[in-house]
Amino acid sequence: MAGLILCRSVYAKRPYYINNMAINIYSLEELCYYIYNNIYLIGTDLFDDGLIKFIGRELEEPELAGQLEFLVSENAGLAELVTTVLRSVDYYSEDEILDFCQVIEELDTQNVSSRLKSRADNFLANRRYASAIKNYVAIVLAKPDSRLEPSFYGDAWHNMGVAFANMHLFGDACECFRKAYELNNNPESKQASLAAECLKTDSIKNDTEDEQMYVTFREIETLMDHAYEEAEYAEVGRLTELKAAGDIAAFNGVVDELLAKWKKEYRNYVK
Amino acid sequence: MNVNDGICVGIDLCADYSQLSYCKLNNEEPVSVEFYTNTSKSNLFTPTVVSKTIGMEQWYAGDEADTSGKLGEAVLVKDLLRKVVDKNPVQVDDVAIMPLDLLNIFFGYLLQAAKADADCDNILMVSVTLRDYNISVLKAVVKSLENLGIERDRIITSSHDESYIYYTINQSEDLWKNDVFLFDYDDMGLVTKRFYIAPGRGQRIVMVHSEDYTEEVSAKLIENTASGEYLDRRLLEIATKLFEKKNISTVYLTGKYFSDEIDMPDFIKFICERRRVFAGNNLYCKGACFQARQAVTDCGPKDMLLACRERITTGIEMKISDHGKDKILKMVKPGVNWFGADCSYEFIVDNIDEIEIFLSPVDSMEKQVVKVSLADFPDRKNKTMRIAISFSFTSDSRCYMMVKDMGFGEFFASSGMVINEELLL
Repeated sequence: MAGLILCRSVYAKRPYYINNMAINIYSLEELCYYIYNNIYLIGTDLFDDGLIKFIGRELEEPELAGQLEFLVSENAGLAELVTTVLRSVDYYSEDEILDFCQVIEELDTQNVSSRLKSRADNFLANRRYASAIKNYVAIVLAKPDSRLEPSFYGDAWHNMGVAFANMHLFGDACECFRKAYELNNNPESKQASLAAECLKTDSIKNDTEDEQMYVTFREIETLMDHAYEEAEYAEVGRLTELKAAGDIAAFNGVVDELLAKWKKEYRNYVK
Repeated sequence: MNVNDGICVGIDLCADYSQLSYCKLNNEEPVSVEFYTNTSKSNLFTPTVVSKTIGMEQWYAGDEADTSGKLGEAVLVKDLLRKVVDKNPVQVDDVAIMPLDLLNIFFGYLLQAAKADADCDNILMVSVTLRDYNISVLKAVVKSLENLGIERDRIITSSHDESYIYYTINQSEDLWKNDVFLFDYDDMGLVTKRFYIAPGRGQRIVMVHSEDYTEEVSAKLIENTASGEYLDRRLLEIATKLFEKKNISTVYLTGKYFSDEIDMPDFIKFICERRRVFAGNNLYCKGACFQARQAVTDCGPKDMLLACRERITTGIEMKISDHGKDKILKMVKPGVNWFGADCSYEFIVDNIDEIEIFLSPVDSMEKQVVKVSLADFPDRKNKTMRIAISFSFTSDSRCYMMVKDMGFGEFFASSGMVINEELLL
């Protein structure tokens, strides 16, 4: 059902800080969104005193806080706790909540490695690269589970490579992609390893005789040629313009802004 | 504090003279406060002025200010409402003062007079009725009363039309079974107001239709004793025309020129035929008082919708999704005064790229649809756009709608984008 959903709950003046995502939550809708999209990251420990007090006091939902307090005291399961929150506000439909319950049910039946990978993938999607790597490492270092295909481990290596690459650790990323390709035989991993190699050495080999490698290098070259046209580059491009125009005050302002933004992002990556 | 011990205050705030009344929560008629000074006789009017004693930090308001000014002991400040609109500092004796502070002095004087007359310190509600319903004056009135410790939810502002309605419906129902006419004749000239009730959708819609005769029947006419007969004839003609083919239960005569001895025999004879006629000069003030009491007790007629000037006669509605079901949200209800009808709601956008607003006039079954596109707002994952929709009014028929992208907490920052739309109601 499409439309506008009226926000009936209070928007908190003082937010609640979610540690594993390094994010502040201001409303029940945001809390529901966080739970729904990060179920692999959360456990019953999310519903601690701090969150319950936040719901009761800042969001002014004492009834919901009371229900959660009771459920926690009765050692209720994760499904019961999260559905209590999701049903307290008109945000997710009943069908969405039921599907979500199914996912929670499946959490218990997943083996350790699958659970860890879901968790790591969730961290990766939320740009929490250090946390993602930690979970991928736990998978690849553990004794291999015979029920899982080699490609499962290959994919874990590949995603770990993505996390390293996003942290600009291209050497480690390259190693991960190579190992990934050995296990999943996925051309994407091979291509990624070559790209990481280029970024590591900051150069493109033009003398390769391997056809696939040659094609990949050309593709990377094309991407690099067009990098200046990307929206993300626009801010950096603006710096060049300001410098050329001699507007040093504005130039310094943008540099400070960009550095602050990158620092904040990097701190989140490594948290 | 027991609310039954408190009083509701009505103030008729006019540019030259003001009036004051109060009532308790029982069903007694409001009491009009009489103002006494050494130099004037008992009077229901007090001048809308303040004064400052020369060379001293001593302020007066109303009659006291007027008297001290005339005696030359103080500097008199007139035209308070115009000064409030101008918002410029006013030089009074040796001090420069903001007009709002002058209004504070005047209101402080009135509230103190009401408390003293009622022998009660607890003011439950203050209702201020104004002839000129000007937004600058309204804002100043509210701010001034707030400065005096009256919270916003204990302040009502209303027009003379609204006060006339409240006065009328608080009289015996026999008196307003049919139409009710009001003749208001003061220094501005003659204005008539017809109160009538029209059937609506399960509600009684109360209307007031005003006719302006200020040019034809000016104050000069009554001041000229030679024109007495002409005035009588002119008023008779107006009344005859207005009353034609109408059932009229009651006629009220108010204003300065109907408060003393009325020497208009033909007019009076005509309006008194099979009708109840009352003359007085505190109808608006008492009406404001009734309105204040009704706001406190919430015991007025529930099936009545006020559709006079300054009341919104077109509701603003929106289709929303409530737990997966379509529902109509009435954001602005018809029948409320436009001043104070500003409101804001927040929504989560769920798979739509335009919003539909329905304008629903009280006298029609047809609703007008206004569509507002959200296409220019950033493209985000579904349900991660919180928008604020706010309505602000500058009159009973003009409303400004603002739709703002609020982002979605720290997950998605607000783009700061805003859509503005003017709604003509």
